[in-house]
Amino acid sequence: MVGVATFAVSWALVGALEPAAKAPSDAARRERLAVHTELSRGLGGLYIEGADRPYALRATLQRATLLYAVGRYGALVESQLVRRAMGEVEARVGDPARDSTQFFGSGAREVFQIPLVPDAAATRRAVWLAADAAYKGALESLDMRASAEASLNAPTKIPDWSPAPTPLDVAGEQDNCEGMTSRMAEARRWLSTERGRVEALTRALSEGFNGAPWIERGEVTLQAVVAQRDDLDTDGLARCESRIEFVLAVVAQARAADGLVLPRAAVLHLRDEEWLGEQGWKTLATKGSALVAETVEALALLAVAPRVEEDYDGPLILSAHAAAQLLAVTVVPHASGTPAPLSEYGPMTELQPHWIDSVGTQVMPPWIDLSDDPHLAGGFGSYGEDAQGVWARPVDVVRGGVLRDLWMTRHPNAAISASNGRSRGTLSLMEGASASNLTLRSHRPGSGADALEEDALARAREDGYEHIYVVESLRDESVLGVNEIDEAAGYGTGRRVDLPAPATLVRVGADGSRTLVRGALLSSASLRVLRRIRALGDAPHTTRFRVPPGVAGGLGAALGVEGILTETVNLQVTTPAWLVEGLELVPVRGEAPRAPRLTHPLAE
Amino acid sequence: MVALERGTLAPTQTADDISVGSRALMDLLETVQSEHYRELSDTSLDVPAYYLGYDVIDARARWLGAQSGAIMEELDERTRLVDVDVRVGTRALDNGNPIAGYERNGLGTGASFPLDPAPLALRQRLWEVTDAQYAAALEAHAQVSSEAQIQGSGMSSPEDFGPPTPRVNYAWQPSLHMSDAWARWRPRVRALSELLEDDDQILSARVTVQLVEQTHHLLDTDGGRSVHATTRVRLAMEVSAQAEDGMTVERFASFDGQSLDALPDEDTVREAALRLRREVVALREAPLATPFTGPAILDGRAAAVFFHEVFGHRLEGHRQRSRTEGQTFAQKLGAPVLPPFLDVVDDPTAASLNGQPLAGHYVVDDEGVASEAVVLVEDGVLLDFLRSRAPVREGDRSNGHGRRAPGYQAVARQGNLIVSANVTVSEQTLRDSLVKLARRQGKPYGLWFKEIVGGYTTTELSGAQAFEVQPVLVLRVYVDGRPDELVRGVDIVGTPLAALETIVAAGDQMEVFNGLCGAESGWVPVSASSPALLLEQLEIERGDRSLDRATLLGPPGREAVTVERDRRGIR
Repeated sequence: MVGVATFAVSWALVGALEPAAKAPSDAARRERLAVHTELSRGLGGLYIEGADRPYALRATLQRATLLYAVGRYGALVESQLVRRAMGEVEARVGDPARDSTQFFGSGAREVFQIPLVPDAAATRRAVWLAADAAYKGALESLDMRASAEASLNAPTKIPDWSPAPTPLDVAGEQDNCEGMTSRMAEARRWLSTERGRVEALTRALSEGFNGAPWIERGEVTLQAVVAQRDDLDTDGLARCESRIEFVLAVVAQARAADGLVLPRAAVLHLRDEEWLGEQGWKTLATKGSALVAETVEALALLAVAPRVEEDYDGPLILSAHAAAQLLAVTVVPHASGTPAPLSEYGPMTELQPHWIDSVGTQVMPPWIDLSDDPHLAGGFGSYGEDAQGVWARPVDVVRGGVLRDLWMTRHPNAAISASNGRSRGTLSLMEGASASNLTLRSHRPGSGADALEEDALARAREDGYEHIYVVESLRDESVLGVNEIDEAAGYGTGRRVDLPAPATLVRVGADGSRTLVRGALLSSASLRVLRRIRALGDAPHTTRFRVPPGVAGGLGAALGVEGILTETVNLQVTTPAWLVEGLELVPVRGEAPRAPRLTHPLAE
Repeated sequence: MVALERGTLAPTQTADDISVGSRALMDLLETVQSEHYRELSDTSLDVPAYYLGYDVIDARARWLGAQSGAIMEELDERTRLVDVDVRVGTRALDNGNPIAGYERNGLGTGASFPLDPAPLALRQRLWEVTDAQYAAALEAHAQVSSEAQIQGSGMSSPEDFGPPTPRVNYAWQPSLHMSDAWARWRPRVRALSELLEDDDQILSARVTVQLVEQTHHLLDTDGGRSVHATTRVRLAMEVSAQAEDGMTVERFASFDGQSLDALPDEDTVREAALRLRREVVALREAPLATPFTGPAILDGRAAAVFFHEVFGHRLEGHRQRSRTEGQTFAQKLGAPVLPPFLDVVDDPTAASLNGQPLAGHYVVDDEGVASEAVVLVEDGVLLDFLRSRAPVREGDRSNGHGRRAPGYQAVARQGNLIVSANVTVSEQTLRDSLVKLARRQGKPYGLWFKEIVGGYTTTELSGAQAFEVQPVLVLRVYVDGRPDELVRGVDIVGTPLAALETIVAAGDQMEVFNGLCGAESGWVPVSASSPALLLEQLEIERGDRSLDRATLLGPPGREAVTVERDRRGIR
């Protein structure tokens, strides 16, 4: 049994679908064999006299059908049904102890187009050319690495590649891939037939902004993707993986009377069966309408809310949702176990994960555990084996506040040599280490919301404040994209992480008064702030995310809605609310943009 | 002989033929425009707008791409974009002045626009884009005004935008009925890509077929109101091989038209594919050319591209206005600039020449002005420039060459550039003349350029007033009677005035080159046509071509893939 079977979708759910066709799986099987044959030929034959031979070649084939619809005020603005078919070959030259991959900008990967439907001859030809280019690029990278190591006196100490995982059941995997190919072909056809329905829902949901003159721009985006990925290598890897993903994003913008622009996003992430069939459509319509209504209401309140005018470094309460967002910005990218590559100027320190050298040290309070389980039943981030064919292992990344493990791929680091199956690939063929289903737990009983606020107010008094702030949510940059606010708080230096601005922020007075406020930013912070979690709530909440993998990924990667399915992997974070110290709120100090000169059509 | 066929559509003054949807959209645009213009032209504003233009472009595109006998890309999309132009200041000096550059100046947006006729959605988008364009126009105008103060008089002569002229044009073309025709092309492009690759010397080959239908809905506060549609079809084939020294050699051919029916039949396309394959294999074996100065023949298509780059771009109106431009011909109106046997006209009204479709055909330009045939050169004497609504001289009006891709500011661009000769000679005479010239100059050979794929020209003052074009098929024609020899890896370089005055003869067969031209206002379809030309002197230099090591392994066999699994097994 392999993990990908976990994702197998029962297409009977979606109604009138024909039985799986034989033809696609036969063609796919021939194509996989052809690619494997070409990789073997390349491994044995690619050679330039006097240079190293490749010691490993790997090919990835990915085919995806993407449906993308954008609606505004009852009209479709965009509607696309796109098929993409891309391949990539990676060559490794040298040996596992020291190879061509660990140099920044390595040319050892070659991306190319493949046929939209499996075709053995055409794909093999493309792999032939790509393997040739990747091998030459790998040789160049290895030379550049040697040159950098010599000039920097930085000899290799950590191996670059760990041994291949234990082989799995060959026949079972092949059967699984063939079955998956047929199911994906059906899914693509189904997606095409449902296009009109997706468009109609997009239009209908976007009408939710029609009666809200305080909103300058309101937009609803629905994206769905059906994709299959095949990975083959000369170590014997031959795996396939299917993805059926859906996202509904609501993005709107209002403007306060003082000119401050207030962007806001809400997002619904679904996968597999969750959005298929009649029940799926009902869920979408209901939850989508609710998201639009919440956004409209939230912006109405924010537009008239007072601004934060003070610098505040007292205790903060993060709601369970905001705490999950904070983990997705900090721990998810920085618990990566992949060391920074070398460049001609030394290691790329900006790509060095902040926790990579902290294994065995205290990174959170001693009463907190943080675990990641890729096999969590019903987990949004669940998967079986990773993109490198390694069976994903549940890990206690933090136990008793001590960092015990990292997100490991087959790329070792100084502390950990073996993969734990965290190499995760995106639809755009990016690959990197990431978490799956992350859960934060406390050894101590949690506090109720009131108790948490009382505790925070007491601590605030010690800092000279008669109030605290509760961060209900952070700005979702995975949907909104880069923050355009001129934020002095965002200039991170050293090992600090830029944090998204609070989206919903409430000031709670000592007298119990609660005031929604706007215009505050969170200063960039070190991951050491996680050691200053003082208390946790008693109601864990699970939040879903789609984030780019790797140290440059996480929720802070500010993708924008266009890339939210193609550049990301699925993740969920479960945590109760936090009472935390060490984070700093500062007011927005940049000038407000010019107010529109024209009268908005809803204000006429 | 030049036989130009006009397009079947002519601008009309009635809206009878436009669709109900287009009419409704125009009505809504008119209402919103009048509201927005009233607000933006309010004289109480520090810098009011004096012009507001909308162009909503409905586009339907289909695309198929094949390699190795398989479909690699397929696209079928409908998009709607809006270009919003806001001009602030005065016609004499506004945000369109070249000093502000051609981007982010309030002119052209290419922003997405609702596909459905939902009035609120259309109004909201126009509100958002127009407001942003007004802000950009203010910023650009501030820069222009500041520069005008520093530079003093002369910067705004002539004015930046011509006076309003009544421009009510409706032109309509029938739909391509793409779905009917599309099915035929899927097996064809697959077969063609396989045919192109069917030689072990070929590295890669690609075949694409593209259909684009665009309908413009243009409305401005100068009285312009136009609905016009264009359809374009292109079949393109490219094939590459790698020479022993690592140089990649390529051949490319395309067929263009205004409908799928205009594309050649299967046999003709197949012949063209086989020719391309033969040529690229021959190029792979050809020796590298060495730098050379001497006489040369440019075949018709090569001469056409040469004229487009070296001459046509320098007659675009905005280049005569900008102080940063070289203005090679700005002061030469009425003066000879070419040999007296040559005429040059740019005629976007022509749909085909000698039966060959012309890609630069359009009825109405992107400023809503009906296209015109412009005689640029007659008997070698320069008579006119290509003009948009930005005048070249005081009192100028547009001659229908204001063009842009969505998202850019419209400037004067070429459409169908046609070079013709009133004295011509046969191909054999041209060849004999080439040999004579080479002998007279003491050269062992002259050069015959069969095909030029493209090039570039520098027209700005900051660079040398030079051009470089990339020929791909070049023959040495020896004076001692040896057979012609194909060579590879050269570029033609030179300066325009020096190169043009060495033209001494023209052939008697017109040839057409269709392509896309990129410049300040984006990529627009164009054609260039010319007879073969004999030049006394042309300079070539070694081209900058990649010199990667040849592929280390031969191509994989085409036999069925039935290899044994690796002994290690596939997991």
